Amino acid sequence: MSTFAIAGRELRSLFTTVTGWLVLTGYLFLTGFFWTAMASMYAMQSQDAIVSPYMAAQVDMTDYLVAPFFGNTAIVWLMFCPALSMRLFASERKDRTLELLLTAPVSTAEIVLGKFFGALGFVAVMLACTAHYPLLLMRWGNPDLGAFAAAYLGTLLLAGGLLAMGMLFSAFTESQVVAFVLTVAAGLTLWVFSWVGGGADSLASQIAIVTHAQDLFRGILRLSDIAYFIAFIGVFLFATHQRVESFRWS
Amino acid sequence: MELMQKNAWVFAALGGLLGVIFGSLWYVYGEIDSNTRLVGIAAALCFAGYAALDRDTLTEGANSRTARNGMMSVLMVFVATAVGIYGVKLAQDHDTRWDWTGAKRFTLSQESIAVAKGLNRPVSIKAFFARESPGERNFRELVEGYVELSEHLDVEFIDPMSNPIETERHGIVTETGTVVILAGEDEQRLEARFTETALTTALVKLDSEEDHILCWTVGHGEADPDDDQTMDGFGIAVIRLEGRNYTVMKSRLPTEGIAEGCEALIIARPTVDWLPNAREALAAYIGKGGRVLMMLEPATTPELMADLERYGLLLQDDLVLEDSPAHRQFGHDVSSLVLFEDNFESHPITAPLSGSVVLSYARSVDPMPDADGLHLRTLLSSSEFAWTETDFDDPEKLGPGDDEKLGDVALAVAIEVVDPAVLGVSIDAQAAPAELVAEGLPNGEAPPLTLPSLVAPGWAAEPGGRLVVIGDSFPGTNAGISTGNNADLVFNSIAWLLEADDELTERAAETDQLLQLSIVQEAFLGLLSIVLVPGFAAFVAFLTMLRRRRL
Repeated sequence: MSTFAIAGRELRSLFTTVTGWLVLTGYLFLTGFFWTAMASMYAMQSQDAIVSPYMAAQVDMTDYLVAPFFGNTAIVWLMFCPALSMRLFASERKDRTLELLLTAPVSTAEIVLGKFFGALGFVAVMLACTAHYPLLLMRWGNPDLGAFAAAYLGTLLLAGGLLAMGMLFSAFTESQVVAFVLTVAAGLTLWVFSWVGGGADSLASQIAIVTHAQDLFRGILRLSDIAYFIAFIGVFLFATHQRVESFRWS
Repeated sequence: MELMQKNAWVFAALGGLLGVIFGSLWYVYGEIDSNTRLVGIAAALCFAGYAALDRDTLTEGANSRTARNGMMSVLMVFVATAVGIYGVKLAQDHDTRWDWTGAKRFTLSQESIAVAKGLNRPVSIKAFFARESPGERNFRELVEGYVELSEHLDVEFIDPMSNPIETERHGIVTETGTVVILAGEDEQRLEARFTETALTTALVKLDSEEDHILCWTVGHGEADPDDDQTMDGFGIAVIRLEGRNYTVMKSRLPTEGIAEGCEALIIARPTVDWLPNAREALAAYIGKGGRVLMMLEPATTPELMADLERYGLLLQDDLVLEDSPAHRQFGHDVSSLVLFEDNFESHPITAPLSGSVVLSYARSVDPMPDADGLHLRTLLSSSEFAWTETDFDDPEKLGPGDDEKLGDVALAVAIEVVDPAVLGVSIDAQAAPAELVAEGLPNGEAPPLTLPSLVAPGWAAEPGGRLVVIGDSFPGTNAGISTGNNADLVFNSIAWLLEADDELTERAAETDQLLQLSIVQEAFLGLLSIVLVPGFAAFVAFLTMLRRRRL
């Protein structure tokens, strides 16, 4: 129960500060720009497909619009997730409020989970603010809503992974800037692994976080991808738990 | 010694650095060679040196409560990581996928499952796609379902840019991807359509189909079937035909007649007129149930054109042109004809066509309405704005004249011979044309007064002959084959001639995935997505800032 109380407090705190709204503004502007550009480009491809049966057979809203959009905007989360996670513990340590939290009748696990779900809730709100993308497509075309749902789930899992990693760095430093930079660097490194050659089955590709979201963006859920994200988030949350727990005995 | 103890951390840092290098080398080369081993040993020595020099600090630290708890925490995180990795590995070994797409695009039908499971010999699939292209991803996803079901299936993805030798070896010429399916000596190809139906059909054909033999007439200045380089060649069409289990062989009709075993004859853009004995050989072939595809050009072979009257066709010396606002809007030349579904008449050849057929410099092919013993069906007609220009030598006079037909000009016709007697085949030697006798042969010799018959002895009429005449060769050329439905028109014509219904191309599924936006809709999309929604969030951010300042 305390987990939800902490999550609610985190979520509210993001909406009562300018930072939360600015993050939301930036995200919506960037994704809105991407969406408009890509939808216009897809409309042009559709025009070509009308006279070309080969193209018409291949052009698909999921493959040519939805999946590339979520794939391209995934890089945006590499900036916004560290921005959300950097303050979770670093600011508490700097403001000396972590001690208060640790002495409250809540377990470390509840604190860590509460903060994680609070930040993830904000990501969910950010994604919900893009609901007009599929809604407009439904009015003007015939999008695959199942693929959209899978793509949103993939984005949520990807953002969850980056948030969990950012939380760990935030727990290691009092400086939000350091936490931000470390999370971006680590996220970028994990991203770059997907560019390393060797095919989809290579070790580098298996480690890369974005590789496991690609199929979700196209409407396919794989047990292995879900397991990766659960393991990824779980390990970083556990490491954060251990780090926060260390404040009790150090 | 004291100085070394003071700077013992350097050994630790060096050890860490060498450890990272060791790990990187191991990862990159996949094995530990002598140099890598040396780096590893150096790293271990550095750590050992650090431990020896700074053992007091280490011992003190290790005995402290913080260090013990810290070590325990690190250990537990390692264990959690190991459990996580094991969990992922377990999930990969027992991977399952759920298809969330509305049309279940990544779920195989029962028929495909049966075909994949029924494969009883090794089948190799070479998929030529640009790396990371949507086509590659989709086909990978599709073929994965087959591979899971059959141990005989082997799939290799080849990027034409990174492996040009293999690409050339398989004669890959299309830019949109090609899939070559090999089983022993048999081969099937998928081009442009990489659907589940296409792949399953190709796998079925591998086991059941024999080659069809097509004869390509040469000797009348026809298009070159081996030329896959120039715009006018037919090499690409031939390569694609061979990928569909057709064997194309040349037939020197003017001297050798039509070879036995030709299942269909292809006459592509003849430019030298046919002598009477060659025309009779053609009529005899069709009159004995033969199958012929003719692709003609304007202002060529007048005698042959006139002879087509016996097949119920009236060919004027004309050029079909079109000039309309819509035509100009799309930047088409007056000599280009872009035909859509409204211009396709109902026929097995045209039924699978769902896009456009593009012709360039076409002539009209007018079916005679009262042709006895023949069943004529128009395949393609022009738009209402096209006309048959007969005075096409003078560009100033272009435009529909009084004696020129305007609108619905027939451009391709399919003919079935019900009564071969109407063809009036003569199996005798033919008199040489007077002009040939007057001019003499190119080598200076006098020509014979009679031309030997090219009809095989013992000829007997048989109904069932089929002929497709297209008033343009552009659809089959290297320049035109990949345009719109042109390839489908040519390949379906051959399939219909051979009565090979399973060779007819698959009609592209009616897609409801296209998105057509008006300028207003695009502007609204941009306004809402870039200005209004982010603007609202920015406005609230501004209000929040003001409120917090007041507090």
